[in-house]
Amino acid sequence: MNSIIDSLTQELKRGTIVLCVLSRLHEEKYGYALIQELSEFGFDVDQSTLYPLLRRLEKQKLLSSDWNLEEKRPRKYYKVTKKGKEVYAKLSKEYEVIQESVKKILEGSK
Amino acid sequence: MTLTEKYLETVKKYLPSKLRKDVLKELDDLITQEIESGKSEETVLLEFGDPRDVAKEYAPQIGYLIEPKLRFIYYKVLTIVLIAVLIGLSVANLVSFMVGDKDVLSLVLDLLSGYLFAGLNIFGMITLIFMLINRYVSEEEINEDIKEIKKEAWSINKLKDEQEKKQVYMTESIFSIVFSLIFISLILFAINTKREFIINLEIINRYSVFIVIVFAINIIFEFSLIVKRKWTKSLRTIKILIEILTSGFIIFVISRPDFINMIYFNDLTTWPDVMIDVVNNIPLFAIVLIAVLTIYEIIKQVHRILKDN
Repeated sequence: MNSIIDSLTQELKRGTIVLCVLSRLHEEKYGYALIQELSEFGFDVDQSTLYPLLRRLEKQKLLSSDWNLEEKRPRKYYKVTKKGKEVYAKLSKEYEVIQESVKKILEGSK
Repeated sequence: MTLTEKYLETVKKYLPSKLRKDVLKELDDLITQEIESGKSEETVLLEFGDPRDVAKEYAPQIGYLIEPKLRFIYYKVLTIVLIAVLIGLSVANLVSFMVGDKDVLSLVLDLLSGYLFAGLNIFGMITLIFMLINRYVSEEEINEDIKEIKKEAWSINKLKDEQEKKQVYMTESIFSIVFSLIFISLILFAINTKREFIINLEIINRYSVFIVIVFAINIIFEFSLIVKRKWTKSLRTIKILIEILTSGFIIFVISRPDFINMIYFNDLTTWPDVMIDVVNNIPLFAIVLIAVLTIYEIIKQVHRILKDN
């Protein structure tokens, strides 16, 4: 039972992670800082989910990355691209619509 | 090797080669970021989770003919078997040339065509075998792995003693496969020459099908050991059964009357009696030797099974 709930929760979250990531990466950040920040908002994401996702978003040109060489060890920073910002704007609108509908459905009114 | 390095090394095995450099550099950075934030290395690695899952997240495309994690073994097995058979072919052809069965031209032609056809055959067969393993065995294994993860969770300790164990089994298995292949090709070559030989080739010929089957069983077992990379109780039990089957069969063949071909020792009449006795007793020595080795192997395996319990 618990494992079913766990995996369904994961699935539920999965769709919204992209939105959260795009939202928080308007400023440049490195991977772990992003995880910590999301967690401060109460949104826990596994490393094994988030890091590969960042790469996928980069491949889709929604994020860009840079190796910062100024620190003592090179560190990879991510930032939303112009395309990413456009996608984020549209996606967050879609999300609001979905959220509204789901809320209504769950409350049982039309 | 630090724990992180071992972890990365394990992830690497499951990644397609074109992604490796990039993904590993990034993972190294990400892991270090967390360690620098004050967590212990073990905690961080546990949070990153099973290396297989990490690799799968980074390279989710499926549909490999042979998965990256099998590919390393595939290349290794392919190389070894090719080399073994090429050596076998060369030796067989050279011996046949030296005893005067062939002239130089036919030696060169036989060698070239032999290399070409044996090479293509082996390449095709091994690729096919690995494709089948990839399709049927791995999937089952992956399911088993998932069960295992749920049962005892993926553990740091597993990672710690990951490296050392595997190599030993690989070398043993590879050695055994190469030896078997060379042995089989020598036997088949001996049958084909139709010359007098120290052992009675008629007997070998009579049981040649069984000889090939017994060796094939051994080779298949070693292959599965290389793929599984881990001894289990059932593998040990199978090993014991194969040991008994193989040795029993070899002893059976050797103990046939006339196993030693006396015609080969044409000038034996000039030999002292003691030497004739020695020659006659060669099969007996061989049987004792095989029996001792077999019993040793069985005791070793039984001991391991009991120890694992």
